[in-house]
Amino acid sequence: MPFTFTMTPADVGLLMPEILMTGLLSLILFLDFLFPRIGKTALAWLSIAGMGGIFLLLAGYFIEGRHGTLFREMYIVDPMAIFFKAFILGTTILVFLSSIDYLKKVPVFRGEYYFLGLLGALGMMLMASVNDLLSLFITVEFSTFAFYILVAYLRDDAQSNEAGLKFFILGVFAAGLLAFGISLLYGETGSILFTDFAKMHAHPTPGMIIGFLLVFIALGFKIGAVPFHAWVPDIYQGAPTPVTAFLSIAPKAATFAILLRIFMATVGDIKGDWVWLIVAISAISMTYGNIVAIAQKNIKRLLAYSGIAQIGNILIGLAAASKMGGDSVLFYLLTYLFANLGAFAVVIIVSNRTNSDELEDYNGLSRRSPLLAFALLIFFLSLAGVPPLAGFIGKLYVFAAAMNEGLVALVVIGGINIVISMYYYLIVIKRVYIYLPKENTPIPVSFPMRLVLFTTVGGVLLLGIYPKAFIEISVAATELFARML
Amino acid sequence: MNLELFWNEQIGFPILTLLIFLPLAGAVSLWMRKDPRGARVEALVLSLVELALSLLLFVRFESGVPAMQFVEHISWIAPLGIGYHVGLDGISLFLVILTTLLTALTVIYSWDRVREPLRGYLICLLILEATMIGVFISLDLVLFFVFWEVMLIPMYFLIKTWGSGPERDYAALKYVVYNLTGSVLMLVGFIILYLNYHDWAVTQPGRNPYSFSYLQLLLAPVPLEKQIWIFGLVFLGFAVKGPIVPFHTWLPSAMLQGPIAVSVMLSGVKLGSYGLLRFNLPLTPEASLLAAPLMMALALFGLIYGAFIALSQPNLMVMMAYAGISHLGFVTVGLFAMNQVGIEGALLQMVNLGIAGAGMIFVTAFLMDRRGSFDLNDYGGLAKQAPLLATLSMIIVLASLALPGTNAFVGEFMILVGAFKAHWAYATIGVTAVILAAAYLLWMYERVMLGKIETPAVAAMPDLNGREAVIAFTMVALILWIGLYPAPLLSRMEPSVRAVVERLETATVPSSAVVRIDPDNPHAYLLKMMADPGADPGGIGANPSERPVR
Amino acid sequence: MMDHILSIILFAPFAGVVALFFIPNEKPLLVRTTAAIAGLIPTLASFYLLYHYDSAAGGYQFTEQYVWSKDLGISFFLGVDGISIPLVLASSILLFTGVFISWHITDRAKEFYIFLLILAAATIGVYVSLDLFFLYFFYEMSVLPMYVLLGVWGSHTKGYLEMANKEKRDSVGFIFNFASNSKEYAAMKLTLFLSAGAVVALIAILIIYATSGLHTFNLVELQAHGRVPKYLHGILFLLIFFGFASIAPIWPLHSWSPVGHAAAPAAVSMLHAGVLMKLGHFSIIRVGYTLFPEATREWMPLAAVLCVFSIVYGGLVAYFQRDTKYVIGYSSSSHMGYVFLGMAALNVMSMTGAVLYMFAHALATGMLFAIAGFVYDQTHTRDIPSLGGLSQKMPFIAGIFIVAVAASFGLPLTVNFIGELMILVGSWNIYPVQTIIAVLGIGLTLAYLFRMMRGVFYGPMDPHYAHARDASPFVDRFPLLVLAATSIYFGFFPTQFIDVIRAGVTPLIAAIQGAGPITPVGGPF
Repeated sequence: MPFTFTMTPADVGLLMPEILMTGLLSLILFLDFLFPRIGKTALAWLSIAGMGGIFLLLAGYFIEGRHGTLFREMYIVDPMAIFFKAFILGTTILVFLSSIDYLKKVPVFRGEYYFLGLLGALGMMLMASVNDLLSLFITVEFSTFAFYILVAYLRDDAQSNEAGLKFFILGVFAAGLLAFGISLLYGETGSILFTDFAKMHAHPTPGMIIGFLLVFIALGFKIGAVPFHAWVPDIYQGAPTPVTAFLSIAPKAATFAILLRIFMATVGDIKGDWVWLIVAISAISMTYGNIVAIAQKNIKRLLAYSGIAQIGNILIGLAAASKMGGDSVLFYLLTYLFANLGAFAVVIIVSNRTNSDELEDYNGLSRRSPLLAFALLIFFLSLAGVPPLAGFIGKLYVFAAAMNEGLVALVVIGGINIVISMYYYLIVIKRVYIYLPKENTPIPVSFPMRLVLFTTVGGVLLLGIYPKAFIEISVAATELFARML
Repeated sequence: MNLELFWNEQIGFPILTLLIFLPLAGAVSLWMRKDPRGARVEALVLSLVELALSLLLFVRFESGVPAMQFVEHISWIAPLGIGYHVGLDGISLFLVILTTLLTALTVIYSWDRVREPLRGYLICLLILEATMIGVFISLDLVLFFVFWEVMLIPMYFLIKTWGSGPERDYAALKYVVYNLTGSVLMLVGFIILYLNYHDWAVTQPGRNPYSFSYLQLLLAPVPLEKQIWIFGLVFLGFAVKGPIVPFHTWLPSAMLQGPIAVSVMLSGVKLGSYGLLRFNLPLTPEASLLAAPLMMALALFGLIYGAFIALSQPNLMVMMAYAGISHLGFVTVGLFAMNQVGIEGALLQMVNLGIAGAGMIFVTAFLMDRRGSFDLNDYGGLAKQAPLLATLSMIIVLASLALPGTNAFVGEFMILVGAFKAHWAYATIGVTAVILAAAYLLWMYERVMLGKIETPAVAAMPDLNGREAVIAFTMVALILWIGLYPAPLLSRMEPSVRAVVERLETATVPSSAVVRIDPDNPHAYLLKMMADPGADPGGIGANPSERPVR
Repeated sequence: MMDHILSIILFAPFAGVVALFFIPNEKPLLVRTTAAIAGLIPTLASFYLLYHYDSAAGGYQFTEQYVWSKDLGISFFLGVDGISIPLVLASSILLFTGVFISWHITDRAKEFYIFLLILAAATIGVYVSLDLFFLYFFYEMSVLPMYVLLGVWGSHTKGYLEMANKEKRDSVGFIFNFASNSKEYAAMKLTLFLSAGAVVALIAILIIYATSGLHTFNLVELQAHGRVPKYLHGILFLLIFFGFASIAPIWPLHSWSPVGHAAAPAAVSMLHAGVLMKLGHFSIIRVGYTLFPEATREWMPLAAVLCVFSIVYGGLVAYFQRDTKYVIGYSSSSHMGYVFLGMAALNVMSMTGAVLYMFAHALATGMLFAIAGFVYDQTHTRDIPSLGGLSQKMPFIAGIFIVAVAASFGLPLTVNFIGELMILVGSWNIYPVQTIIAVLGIGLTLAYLFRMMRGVFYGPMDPHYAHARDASPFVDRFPLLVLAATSIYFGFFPTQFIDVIRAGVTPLIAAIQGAGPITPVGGPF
């Protein structure tokens, strides 16, 4: 059939955030090349300001409830997509803020750093709007591409390079699986549109099942759920800490946007056939992540494994596969964003000072910097799910959702994991508050870092004490499931 | 008939409350003041005032009525039916007087015989007095229990802090643990009674469903099964306090290790037997009838056992302790003869032996203060050295072995008559005990006072000084007065005791009971069983399913 | 103003926390005063509660309700009845006195008071919440401050310094790591035990939420129209019972508690033994009794069996302890057995007694721990055999200790006696054997407490405690006097209390009895 490409102003409006984003990152690139004099910090602030603007635009879209599809439904814009775009932008802003100090120690290519960051963000924003397999493949690879470079960003650091290589190989492997799965699905159904699948999966053929499984595995690599987690610890440890922070949140969120679309919007009404898969994966992810985390001596590895466990928790919400489940996933991602990013911010500050990520270096932190100690306490307790902090509400939300669907066993496992995770988080708290420090030099906290810390602490407390607004946002964002499930 | 005479009908002021709270107030003021000498005087004055008040009770007491007198009744913890309800009758009157008297004498005795801190000692003594009086005049079971428990604290510190023996610490703890355990079991007994009253009261229109008041509880009929429980538990409490063998082991150590004041109170004020008379007999008459043979057996055993131990004791204080145990056996015999003369005798004997026993303790104390030893062998020939001491203690000794003419004789005689009425065998055993008592007391006297002086220490012993003389003379005077003219006491005791006896006589064991006993002679059962355990005496139903309780 | 009194009680300590954030650590006096004020307000307010609760009307009073999240069916719903008022009062009193007890803490005093206030406030929060979500919210919230309080300001137990391998306490198998007596170990064990219990209860709560068909956590609504399937009641009650009983702590779930007591600083042990433990009993009553009367009737005999073990085991172990705080710790876990006995008997008298006894025990054990802490500050040891004769050095403390001992073995004229009496009266008809055992337990209590008193305050004094001083005029004496006075005052005049509590208990018992007659389990139990 003849390919006709028409775009109404409305469609352009739908694409506007991405267009602006592209403009912003090209601007950064040009400024960096043409005017090397410009301080890289200035670039950082510039891109942050730009993203802030786009963020506001998206907020406007969300309130306005704008939605629509583009390119023959390949590309969808709806409240959920907007939510995730905003989410990713917020993450990127915070990551950039916490990168400013970190980069001062890096000799070269500091401008490119921000460019690549924006590139990744753009890719992930596109992922949030994916509505068919092709755009799925393109956007996923697009966003990962930026991370290949960012992970290996510390040129002279062997660990960083190794991590980059690993990440690249695994990424390509996942991409292969994804492509194979897509081809299978296309071969079986002759379509690549989610919406078409939603119509025709009444009697899934073996080919379709395998295809779906392959796609799911590829996405499983992105979110680092067990058993597709092997790359996570090494790469978290090797990558520059801000990148690790970025990596631990944004791509996972974007991938969850896709997972939600596939599992709930597309094959939601046959959830009986696939829910066991999610339940199993979620259960092992939580248990494995938490148990292995206990043995860690390096805080980045510890956060990596705790991240795996957190993903398991989010999957509980997906397993519920109900409207409420969807809300809970979105809300949980919010709590995860604040707590995890905050924790990484503390790690960045400390490692900037001590040039090490070993747990021993956190002994007596409370005497060196009460602020950092208290913040870390808040973040870890939130991750462990202790009231009155965000994590508690998040966990309760997903548990309630799962319980409503009768997934008692899963909730029980989740509960057990709360206790296990509490143990290793408390071990760090113990070092921070109880043990005596090796050296008593206070740890300074620069302005952008303060900004990050206060934002995240505030977020954690707000979501924990009065999350009404955020719950309503996530409820509104998943309206489509209310129709489809 | 009116069961209660209120204080405002009899006397202008709430005298019983005054009796309880005057010593407490005194204790507080002693705590405030600093100089020990002044404290001494104040304590003495207080105790004398108490004595005077209790004598006033004696004067104003209306003899010839069994009613509770000088009653005060204020609601305290309404939801549980607990009230501040005090009053006294012929049973408690003389015990109150005895308490105040002994306290006064103890204060006099302790004038310069106590190690510092003297104030603390006097405070404990006054609190002890208050609680003991409270025990005797409480008509609310919880109030009774309050005083009964609080008594432990001053006692504990008296033994622990001012005791004379090296083991006093241990003795004090032993005392408290024994008595607390006993009394909490007693509390359970009270609780059963209380619940039983509740079950009965809810069926009665216009009655407060909960009450701990003694007079209320007397009204509610108690089924035999419950009575057995109640009797057993409450008896345990009083048996320990008594003490009745085999619950007596704390007493010798407490008396040996504790200060004289403690020994005086323990052997002088018979709290345990008062409890039996006040609570067990009237509240659980049937159960008492059932248990009478067993009680008798215990009492007689204690009587003989105590006497024998006393006979074999070289240590004065321990001998006194076992003498006290033996005396208490006597009182119990009288109580469980369960007839007018026996019980009245027992009550009288509580007073008498209180006087005699306390007197003996004082004598022992005088000796101890002079010689610094409780060992009989350290004495001898004291009579030449201290004639006054010898004479007066002679009279006291004679009193405690119940020579005719002394007070104890009256009571003992009545008890034996009562016991004989119950069964000749009891009387026989009792009499042999009297002989034993004579043996150990006279032998003790002989070894201490008579003979010739061996040790120079004895040769140096002074005779009684003024305070000691006062104490000894008071004792002797009482002994002789009651011995020669007990009527005023008996006339006041008689009606109250009769009331108890009436309850016992009207009590009949329902045929539902495992053991059927004829109220006229409940004791036949035990004796037959003792004669031939296999036999099936008249008491037991022919049906083999109704085997006797052993 | 007065219709927001519960918010005042609940948020005064939180306000204190916020205020403390802005007070520099260099002004210790200001810090302490702020904390004291934050404790005083709820104390006064809860006395107001006690005397203005309308016993005749009964039910939940002083209620406040605000929607918190409609989508989750959660509302911020406060209210008290006769059961919670005594416990609120106890919490506030212990907080207020605890501030003074820990007056001499110098190391990071500000943080200490912040965590202490959070702990107390969270405890109060549980007692005043009528929404299951917030009940759990505050419950879990009260556990975590304990970790830091024990870990940072706590003290190691005997034998710790001799430990060869100090890293042992970090080992994964810490639950089996009995050798370690480090405060870190105690803190970790306590936190994990309590969190585990909490999670069990949470699962039950979520099941209720999912199956009630109301999509709400509101306790009152759940009680009124909850449609939880009958066949679930039994299992749900058991989950709730054991989930919350782990903090109570009922035998055999008690093992965390004495260790925790021993490690904690005085004020924290006071709050811990005084009110934190009661969270267990309270939550069982509030959730289990209220929602599942039949199951309660069916399963409480189990508690009647376990409580015997609590009483006897705790008492015996306490008798053989060398460490003062261990003695008190085991005595507390033994005394909690009485509360369970009273709860198990399921009649108005015994339940009223149980609640009253909780209040009484809070005061008594508060005094004991305060004194143990004071002695420790003076002598830096809690080892009974090495102490002794301190009454010469600290007559006042010794005097108060006597009162505390008397109170905790239930000497008449202390409120404990009234509580004990009512428990015994109530449970005799249903569980005679347990009642007898409980009564003998009183004797046991006396034995070990007097033994401790002799060991610490009498006998020969070790010369190198000669520097020990008596309680300083105000700061040390005031809190102890407050506790003693309260205990004795309510021992003389418990009527108001009994009426209030009874008003709260009666409807519960009526519901449970209405669900059918109590069937006393045959045999000795």
